[in-house]
Amino acid sequence: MSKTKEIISVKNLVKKYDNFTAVNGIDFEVSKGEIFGLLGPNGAGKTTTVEILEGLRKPSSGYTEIDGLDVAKNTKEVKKIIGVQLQECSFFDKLNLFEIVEMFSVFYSSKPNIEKILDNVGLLEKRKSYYKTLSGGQKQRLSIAVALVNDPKVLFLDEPTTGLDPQARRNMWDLIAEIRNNGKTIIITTHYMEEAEKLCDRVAIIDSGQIVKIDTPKNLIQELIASGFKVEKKSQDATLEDVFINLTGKRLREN
Amino acid sequence: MKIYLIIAKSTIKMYFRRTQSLFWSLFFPVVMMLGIGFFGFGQFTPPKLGIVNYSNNYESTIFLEEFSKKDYLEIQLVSVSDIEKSILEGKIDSVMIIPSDFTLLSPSLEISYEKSKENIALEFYDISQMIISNILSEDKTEKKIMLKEQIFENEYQGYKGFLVPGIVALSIMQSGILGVVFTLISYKTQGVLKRLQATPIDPSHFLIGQMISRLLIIVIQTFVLFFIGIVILNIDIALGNVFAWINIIIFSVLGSILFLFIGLAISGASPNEDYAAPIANLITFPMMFLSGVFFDTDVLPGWLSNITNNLPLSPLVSSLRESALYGTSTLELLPELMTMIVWIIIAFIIGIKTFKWE
Repeated sequence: MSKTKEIISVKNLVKKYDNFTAVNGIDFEVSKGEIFGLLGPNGAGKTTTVEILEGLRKPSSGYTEIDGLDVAKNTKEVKKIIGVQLQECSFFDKLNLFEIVEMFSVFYSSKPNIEKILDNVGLLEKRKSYYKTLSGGQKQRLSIAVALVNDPKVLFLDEPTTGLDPQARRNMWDLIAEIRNNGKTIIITTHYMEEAEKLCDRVAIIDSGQIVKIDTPKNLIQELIASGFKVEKKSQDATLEDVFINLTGKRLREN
Repeated sequence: MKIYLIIAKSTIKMYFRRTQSLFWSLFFPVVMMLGIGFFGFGQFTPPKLGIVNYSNNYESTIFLEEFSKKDYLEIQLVSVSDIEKSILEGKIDSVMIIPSDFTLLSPSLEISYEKSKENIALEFYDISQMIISNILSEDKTEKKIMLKEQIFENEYQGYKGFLVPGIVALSIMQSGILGVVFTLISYKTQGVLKRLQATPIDPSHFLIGQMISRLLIIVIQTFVLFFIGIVILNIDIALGNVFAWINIIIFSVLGSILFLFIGLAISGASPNEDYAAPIANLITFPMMFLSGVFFDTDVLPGWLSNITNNLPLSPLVSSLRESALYGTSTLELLPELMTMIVWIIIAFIIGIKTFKWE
C-alpha cells in the first residue's frame, strides 16, 4: 500500500470518567480516501474515540487532529469539514426528509442540491415523508444524507448497520463504498466482522480502551493463519446468510 | 439570522402538524371556556349576599338572624353607596335592601343584582321567602314577598368576562411550560440535541430559536383565544380600549417568556427525563386552581392568598384580566409586571445553570 497523506491522527488518547477509563492511550492515523474500521466488542471504547474526534467529547489527555486542525482547539472548524452519523440518533419527527436536510444545510451554511443528496442515498421518493414513517435502513440512510450536506472531507459512521436486515445491510455497504469512491475518507465502527472485511482498507481492533492491533483485514487474517491457527474445516462453501439472501433476494424491504 | 429563521419555520410547521399540541393549546382551552362560560358552573364559591338594613326593627333582626344561619351563603353588610360598585366588580353577587317599613306579615324587599346573576338573586329570594314562612310557621304562599328588583348591566360582563382572561393566562402557562418540557425531553432522549451538537452551530442558537418560535405561537394562541371569547361568548375587551390590547401584548409576551424559562428550568433541574413531566404537572396544577384562573383568590384564607398571589401565574392572570375588563393602564399594573420579571430572572438563572445537552 502506497503511503498517502494522513488526514486524521490520534496520539495517546485517554478518556477517563469518574471511576472508569473508556479510552486508555490510543494511537492511530488514517490516510486520505481510506475506509478505516474501529472494531471491538460493546463497551470497548469505539464510540468514545469517535465522539472525541467529532468534537462531542473532550479527551482527558492526548492529541487528535483532522486535516491539520487540532480538534480540541478548533472544534468548530473541524465540525465544518466532517460529516457525522451518530449511533442512536434521531431527527425531528414531524418534518419531512427534504425539510430535515434543508435545516441541516443551513446549520452548516452550505447550499447543497438537496434532491441530489436524497437521491444519492435512495430516498428521493421519500422526500415528502415524515422521518418517523421511515424503516430502520431508511433512517440510517437519511442520517448519512444529513452527514453529507456539507460535502465533508471525513465521514464518521458509528455502527451504521446495527439492527438492519441482511438486505438493508448489503445496500448500506454499497452506499458506503460509493461515498468512498467519491473521494471521502470514512471512519466506521462496527462489530460485524464480515462488514469490516468487505468495506475496510484497514482496521483497528480495540478492546478495553486500547488498540490491540492495526492492519489490513487481509494481513490480519494471514498473520493469524501463519501463527498456526486453524478453523475447523468447513464442509460447505456458503453460509446461512448466503442461503437467506439467495432465497429472499437482495431487494430492499421497506415500504 | 438564517439559522433562527429555519428553526422558527420548522418549529412552527411541526407545531401545526402535531395534533396533540393543537389540542392542548387551542381546542382544550376553547372547550373549557365555552363549557364553563356558557353553563356558568364557575360558581364554585359560595353565593355572596350583601345586605343593607334600613329597618332595624325586631322583625328584620329575626329575619336576618335566620339568614345568617345559612352557612352556605356568605353574608356581609354593605353601605348603599357601594352597592353598584360591588355588584359590577363581582365582589358581591346580589344585594338585598330591607326597607324601613319591613314587617314579616307583609314583607317587601329590594334585590339588586347583575343581569347574569339572576339565578343567584332568585335563590336569595326563595331563601327569604322560606325563612319568612318558617318564622311565621305558615304556608309560604300566603305571605308573598313584595319584591322590587334593581338590575345592573355590566361592563364587567359577569363570570364569562372574568373567566376568559383567566383561561388565556392558563393556556400561556401550559403552552410555555409543557411545550418546552416535552419537546426538549423528546429531543434529548431521541438524540436530536446530540446531533445538533455535532454541527458547527452553537447549540444555544437552536434553543433560542426554539424559544422565539414558541413565543410567537403563544402570542398567536392568546389572540385566537380572546377572539373566540369575543365572538362566541360575546365578551367585550375593555369596551374597545386600545390600551387593553397593548397591555395584552405586553403581558402575554412577558408571560410566555416567563413560562418558557420555567419549562427550561424544569427540563434542566429534573434529575432525568422521567421526572420532568411529573414535575411540570406538580408545578402547574396548584397554580391552575390557586392563581385566580377560575375564581378570585379573595376566597382563599388570607395566609394562602398571600402566597398564591405571588406565584408566577397570578400576576399574569390578574394583569390580563384587569386589562381585558377595565383597560387598566400598564402603569397601574406595575406590581404585576415586577413580580413577573422577578420570576423570569429566577427561572432564567435556574434554567441556564442546570440545562444539560445530554
